[in-house]
Amino acid sequence: MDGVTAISLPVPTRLRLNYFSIYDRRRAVDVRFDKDVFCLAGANGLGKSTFLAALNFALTGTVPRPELNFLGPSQFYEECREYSARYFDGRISSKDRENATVEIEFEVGGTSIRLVRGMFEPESLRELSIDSGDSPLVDYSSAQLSDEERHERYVSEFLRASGFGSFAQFVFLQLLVLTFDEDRRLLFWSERESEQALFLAFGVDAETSQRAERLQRQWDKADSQARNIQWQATGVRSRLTALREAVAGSDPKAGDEEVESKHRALTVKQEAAVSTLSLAIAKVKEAELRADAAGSHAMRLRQEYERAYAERLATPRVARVHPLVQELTASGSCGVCGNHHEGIDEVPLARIEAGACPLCDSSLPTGETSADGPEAKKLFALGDDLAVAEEQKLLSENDLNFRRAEQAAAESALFEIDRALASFREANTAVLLRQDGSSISDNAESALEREIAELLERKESQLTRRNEARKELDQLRASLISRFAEMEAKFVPDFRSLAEEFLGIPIDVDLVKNGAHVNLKLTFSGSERLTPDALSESQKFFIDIALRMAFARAFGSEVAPATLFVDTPEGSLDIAYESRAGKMFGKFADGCGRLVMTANINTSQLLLELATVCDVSRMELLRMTEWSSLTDVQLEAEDLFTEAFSRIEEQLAQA
Amino acid sequence: MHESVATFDALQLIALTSSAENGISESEVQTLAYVACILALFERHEVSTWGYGFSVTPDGAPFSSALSDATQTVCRLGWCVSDGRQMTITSNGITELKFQTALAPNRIRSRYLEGSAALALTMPLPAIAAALSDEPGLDRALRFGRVVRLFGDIALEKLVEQLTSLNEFLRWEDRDANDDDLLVPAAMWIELMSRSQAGEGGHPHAF
Amino acid sequence: MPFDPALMADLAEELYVLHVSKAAQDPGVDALKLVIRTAKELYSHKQPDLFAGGLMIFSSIDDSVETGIDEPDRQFDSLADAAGWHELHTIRINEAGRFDAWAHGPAIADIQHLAIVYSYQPPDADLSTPSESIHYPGGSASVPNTNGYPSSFAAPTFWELEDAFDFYARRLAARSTCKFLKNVWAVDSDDRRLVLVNTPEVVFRESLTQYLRSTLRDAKSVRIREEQNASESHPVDIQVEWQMQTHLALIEVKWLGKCLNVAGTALARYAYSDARAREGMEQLIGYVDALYERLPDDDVLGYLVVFDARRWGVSDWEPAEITPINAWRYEHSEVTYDGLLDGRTDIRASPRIFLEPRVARP
Repeated sequence: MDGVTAISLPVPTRLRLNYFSIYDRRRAVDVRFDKDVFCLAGANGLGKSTFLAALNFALTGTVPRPELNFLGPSQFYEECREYSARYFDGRISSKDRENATVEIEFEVGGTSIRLVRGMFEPESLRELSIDSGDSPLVDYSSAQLSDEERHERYVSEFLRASGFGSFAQFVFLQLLVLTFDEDRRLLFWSERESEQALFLAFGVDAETSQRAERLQRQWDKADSQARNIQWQATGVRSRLTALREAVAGSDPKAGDEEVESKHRALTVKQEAAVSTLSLAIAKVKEAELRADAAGSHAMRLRQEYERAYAERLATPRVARVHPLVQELTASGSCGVCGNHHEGIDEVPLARIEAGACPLCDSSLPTGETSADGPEAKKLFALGDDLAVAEEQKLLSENDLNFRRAEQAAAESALFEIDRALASFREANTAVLLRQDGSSISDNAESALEREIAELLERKESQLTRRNEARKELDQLRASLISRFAEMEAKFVPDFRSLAEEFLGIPIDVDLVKNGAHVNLKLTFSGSERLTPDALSESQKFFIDIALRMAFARAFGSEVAPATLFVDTPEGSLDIAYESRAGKMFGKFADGCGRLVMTANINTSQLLLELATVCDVSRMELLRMTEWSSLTDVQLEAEDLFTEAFSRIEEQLAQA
Repeated sequence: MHESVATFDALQLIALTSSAENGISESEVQTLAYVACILALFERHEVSTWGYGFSVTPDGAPFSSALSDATQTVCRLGWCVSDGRQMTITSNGITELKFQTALAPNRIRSRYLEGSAALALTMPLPAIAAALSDEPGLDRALRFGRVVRLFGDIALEKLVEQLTSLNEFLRWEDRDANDDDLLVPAAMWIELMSRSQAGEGGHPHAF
Repeated sequence: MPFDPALMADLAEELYVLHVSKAAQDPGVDALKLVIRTAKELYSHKQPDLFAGGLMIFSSIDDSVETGIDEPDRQFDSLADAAGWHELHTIRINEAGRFDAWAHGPAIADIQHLAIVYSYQPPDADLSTPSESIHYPGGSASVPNTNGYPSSFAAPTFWELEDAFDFYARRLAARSTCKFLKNVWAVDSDDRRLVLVNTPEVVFRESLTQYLRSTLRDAKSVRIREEQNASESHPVDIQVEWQMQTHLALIEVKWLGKCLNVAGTALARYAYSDARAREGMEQLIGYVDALYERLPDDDVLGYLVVFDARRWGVSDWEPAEITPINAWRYEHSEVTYDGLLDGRTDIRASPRIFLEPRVARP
C-alpha cells in the first residue's frame, strides 16, 4: 500500500561523525544504513544517545529540550533552538569544537541530499549538495553562499521534496513522533502532541495541520487575553466604585438641556437594560426550577409505570398458552414421560378448563391478562400521565433554553448601552462637567467608565477571535475525523497487530473527541479489568512505540520506508516482555518500516528475538567498543557484553 | 433502561412480521428495532429517548440486552411461539398487542416499528441486516472487531449528517409534508447505505 | 458525511415506494404495503411461476370511491383458499379485509387512478426473468429483480450455508442468471458462454458475497476479506459470521476454465484445470488451521466453491465450432481431493458449480 499522505520522510543512508570527542578512539565514525534494522550496541555511558541525537541534529539542526511543555510544532522548534546550540558542549572537547561536524546522506521524496553541519551550528551548513534526479547534482558548497544561506537553501529544498508545510512540522514529527529518545516522552498520553501527529499523519495536507496549530495558538492566546482583560476591567471597576463613594453627594448644576436629556435618556436606558438583565436571570432560575421539577416528576411516573408494567408481565399466565402445553398439543408427546398417543392433552386441557394448573392441579387466577381489569386501567392511566409528564419535561427544557438565550441577549444589550453611554460622556465631557458642577472626580469617573467600556470591548473582540478560531478548528477536526475514517483500515490494524505482539492481549485504538481535542484512545477488549492506566511505565513506553510505528507506517511505503529512531528501548522492561518487544520490532521492520536503534545488550532478550526475526541480510549490528575508551568498570562489564554480543551475532547468522 | 418499551417493541415486531415473513428470529428483532430507532432519529428524536441502547458485541450486532430479555419475556408469556429459530405471534399476543398499543408511551413508537417492519416487506431480512452492517457506527465496530456502544459521538454525528441530508432531499422531492409513513425514508436510507458503501450502483439486495 | 445528492436523485428515480408516496401519499403507501403483504403471503402458498397467465393484486387507495368494476368471480377469506383456485388471475383486498378474485381482472389502466396495482408477468419463452411492476395514479414503476428470482417478493432465504449454496448453484449460477454472472462471460458472436472475461474471480466473489448477504438468515456479517496486514498475504476470499454464535465460515472461491487476457483480445496464457481446485483446497485448509490457532474458541468451517467453466477443445476465444459434447463435457466431472479431506470435519462438502454453456445439450 502506498503511503497515505502526501508527505515524504527522509531515509538516511549514511552518517559520518568527524572529530567527535566522545568517541575518542576514532577520528571519524562512518556508518551506513542499508538494512531494515540498524542497531548500535554498547554498554551504558558510551554515547549511544548522543549518536541518535547527532543523527537527528544533522537532519534538523535541533535537539529536543527535555521537559519542554509542548504547545505546538512552531513553539517547540523555537524553544529548542538555544538548547540545540549548546547540546554537544561537554560531549565534544573544546579543542575539537571547530572541527567537529556531522555529515549525513539521505533520500527524501526522490531527492538525494548530502550535508555537513558543525556541531554547534543549528542554523548553518558547511556543505550541501542536492540531487533531485531530474536535474544534475547541485553543489551549494561554494563560498558564494554563507553557511546560513546554505541552511536556508537546505530548508527550502527539503520542504519542496518532502511536502511538509513548514520545517517546524518536520522537526516535530522527526524528533517527537519518529524518535523515541532518552527523554521518553509519551505521545499517547499527551493531548496536544498526539493531536498534532494525527493532523500531520491524517490531515488533509501539510498546510491544514499547520493551520490547525496556528488556530490552536490563536485560540489559546485570545482566551488568555480575554481573561487578562476581564481581570483588568474588574480592577478598574473597583476603583470607579471607590471614586463614586468619594464624590457621593456633590450637586449637579443646570446646564445644556439637550445634552443633559440625552444623557439622562441613556442612563435610563442603561438602568432599564440592567433591570431587563436581572429579570432575565431570574427567569432562567425559575425555568431551571421548573425543568428540574418536570424532570423529576416524569422520572417518578416512569418508575411507577415500569413497576405496573412489570406486574402485568408477572401475573401468572393462562396455562393454555404455556409453551409446555402448546408443545403437548402440537406434538402429541408428553415432555415429562415421553409417552405419545392421540388425545394426550385431554386431561391437562380439562384441568385448565376447570381453572387449575394442568401439572400440579393448583387453582389458578382466572382468565387471561385482562385489558379492562383494574390493573390494566391503572397501567393505562399511568401511561397517559407519563406521556403528559414527558411532554411537560420537553417543554420545560425548551423553555429553559429559550430563557438562557434571552439572558444572553440581555447581556449583550447592556454591553451595547454601556459602550454608548461611555462614548457619549466622552464626547460631551465639557457640557456634562458644566452641568455636574465640574468636579474633577466626575471627569475621572467618566474616564474610568470609558476605560471599563474599552476593556470590555477588547475582551469581547478577543472572545470573538477565540470563537472564530474555535469554529474553524472544529471544522479542521471534523475533516481529520473523516480522513481518519478513510485511513483507519490500515492504521488501526497496524497498531493493533504491533501492540498485541508486544502485550499479548488484544488492544484497540480509536479516535475520540476529548472536549475540544481529537485524540486516540486505547482500550483492551480482551480483559475488562485492564485499563490503559494499569500498564506499567515500561509497558506504556512500548505501546507508545507501537503507536509511533503505526504512524511511521502511515507515512512510509515499500519504496520509501519510514524510519523510526529508538534509543535504548529495553530499559526497565521485564525479561518476559523483552522477547515480545523484539518480535514487535521485527514485525515493524518486516512491513514498510525501518529501524535505527541503540541498545545495551548485556541482558537483552529483545535483540536476541529481533535477530531471530531478521537475519544478517536485514539487520546490521554494530558494536561501540571500538569507538570510545572504556573505564575500568566498563571494561569489566565489557566482557559480559562481548559474550552477549556474540550470542546475538550467532543468532543473526543462524536465522 | 425501560423494560416496558423493549417488551412492546419485541411484541409488535414479531406481530408485524408474522404473516408476510413467517416470523423472525431474535437477532432479526434486534435488527428491525435498530432500524426503528434510526427512523426516530430521522425525525429528530434524541437517541437517549428511545428507551434502550444498542451495542456491538462479539456475539451480536446490533444487540440490546434489554430487547433480548424482552423477547424472552414475550415468548415465556405465550404471546409468541418459537420453532427454535423464528417466532410468530399467537392470538393472545395479538390481544395483548392491541392493549399495549393503546398505552401512551407505546403509541408514539408504533410508527417507527411499522416503518421498520414495512421495510422487510420490500427487501429480504438478511439484506436489511447486511445493509445495516454498512451503517457508519456498525461498520467500524464490525470491521475492527470492537465491543462498543452504538451511537457514540463520532459515529452519531456521521449518522445524523446522513439522515439530515436525506430529510432535506425528501422535502425537496416534495413529499407531502403531512406524510406520516416512514417506509420511504427507511427504504431510501437502507439503499443509500449499501450503495455508498458498494461504490457504484447496483441493487445490493438484488445480487 | 451527508449522502451524495446525485446518488439520492438516482435512487429516487428507481424507488417505486417513493413514486407511490408522491402520487398517492400515505393512503397510497398503505395500499402498497397491503398489496405486497398479500403477494408475499400468496406466493408462500403457490410459487409465482405457477401463475402461468400472470397475476394482478390491487387495493383501493380510497375505499369510499366506487371503482365501477365487475363483480368478482369469487370471494375468499384466506389466501390459502385463493391460491387453491386454479383460474386465479386478479385479487383485490377489499375494505372488509377479504379477497375478491377474478379469472380475468380489469385492465390496469382502468383502475390505477384509484388503486395501487401489482402485476406479475411470468418469464417468456426466452427464459428471461419475470417482469413485475407497481402501478399507481399517473405512472408505473418496475420492481427490480435483477437476480432472476421467481419473483422479488418470493426471494428465498436460508438458515444453513449448505442450503444457500445449493440454491445458488442450481437456480442462479448454473445458467448465470444473476446480474453479476451475466457479465462474467466473454461475449462471442453467438454468446455461447465458452470463455470467461479477464480476472473472473472478482465477479465470482462479488456474486457469491452479495447473494449470501441477501439470503443468509442471522448472519452478522458477510465480507470479502481485504488484506488488512502487510504480513497477511492472500487471505481467504469471503468470511461469514453469525449472530449469537461463535461459528465462522471461510469461503475460498476458485474457477476452472479459460479466460481472456488483460487487453481482452485473446485467451490468457493460463487455464485452470481441476488441479487448481486442489490447490485451493490446500490453501483453504491452511487458512482454517491458521485461524483455529488464533481463535481456538471459535468453530471454524471451511468451504471451497469451485466455478467450473471448462469446455473441451477451446483454443481460441471465439472458436468457430464447438460440438455440444465438447461444450458439456465437464458437466459431471467432479473434482477429487485425494486424501486432503481425510478426517477433516471442518472442511465441508465443496459445491462444484458447472457453469452451463449456451449450446444445446448433447
